[in-house]
Amino acid sequence: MPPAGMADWIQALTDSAGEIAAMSLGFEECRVTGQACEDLLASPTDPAWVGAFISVQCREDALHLGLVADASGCETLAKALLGMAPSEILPEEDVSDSLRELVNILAGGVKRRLAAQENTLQLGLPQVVQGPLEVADLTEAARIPMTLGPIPVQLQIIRSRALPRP
Amino acid sequence: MKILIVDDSKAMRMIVKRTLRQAGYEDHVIEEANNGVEAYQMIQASAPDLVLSDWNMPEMNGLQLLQTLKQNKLEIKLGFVTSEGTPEMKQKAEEEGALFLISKPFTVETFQQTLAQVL
Repeated sequence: MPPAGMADWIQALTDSAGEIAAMSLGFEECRVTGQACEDLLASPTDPAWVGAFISVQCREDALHLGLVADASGCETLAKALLGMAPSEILPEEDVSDSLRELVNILAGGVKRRLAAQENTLQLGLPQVVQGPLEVADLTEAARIPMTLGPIPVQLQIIRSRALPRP
Repeated sequence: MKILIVDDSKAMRMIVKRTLRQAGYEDHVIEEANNGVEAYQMIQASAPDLVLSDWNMPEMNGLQLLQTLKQNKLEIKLGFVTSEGTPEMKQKAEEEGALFLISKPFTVETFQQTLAQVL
């Protein structure tokens, strides 16, 4: 089977986000709100937005998968994950921790969905970044605008040349 | 009865703890460890009845924790709660002696069905 193309990654990431919205966040509605934009360089991420990213090592290249939202959206996502009321106070470090966990689950769902095409995927440890993720040797990127419940988010796929495997 | 949750994410430890309560294990003593190294030290000090461990963690991951327990002949019931649930990983977990692998995202029912078989 040929390696997964960008369309496969977009589909797997979108489906995984839908699963998380329903099962982890308790949101009934989750929808893609626009076309996947495949030129992140032409319209970079808003520097005020915050993203959780996780690296994914493939057979022939490497990717970063991201879940990006504005600060208020990130806080709402974190509270939804933890089952907290909107009025409760959540420290910023716990918001970041929750975002890292969300993108970790998101990537696990992608790995499961692409297992037939990419059976050697290795997930890294997630990180939180404000603004655009800086990646060396970028070859391809896509951004999918979505809403998870009431929260506007972007899913991002950033592809670069693979790092050598240890 | 004591259950040890091992995960480098405080958020996920909170979620697993809440799910255990919802699944009917509210009377159990719940302890938490941040990674495999911390978990191993806690297990040596006082063995839990069950370890629920993440797979990917810094310092010592869940699989290394399981292997360390085996090497040191510590017979502890351990299951994985992880975002990675491919058939290969489930097989690897089983081969190393894990009792189960619960994939994230999970439901309360998954916890009830899985834990009922081991506790």
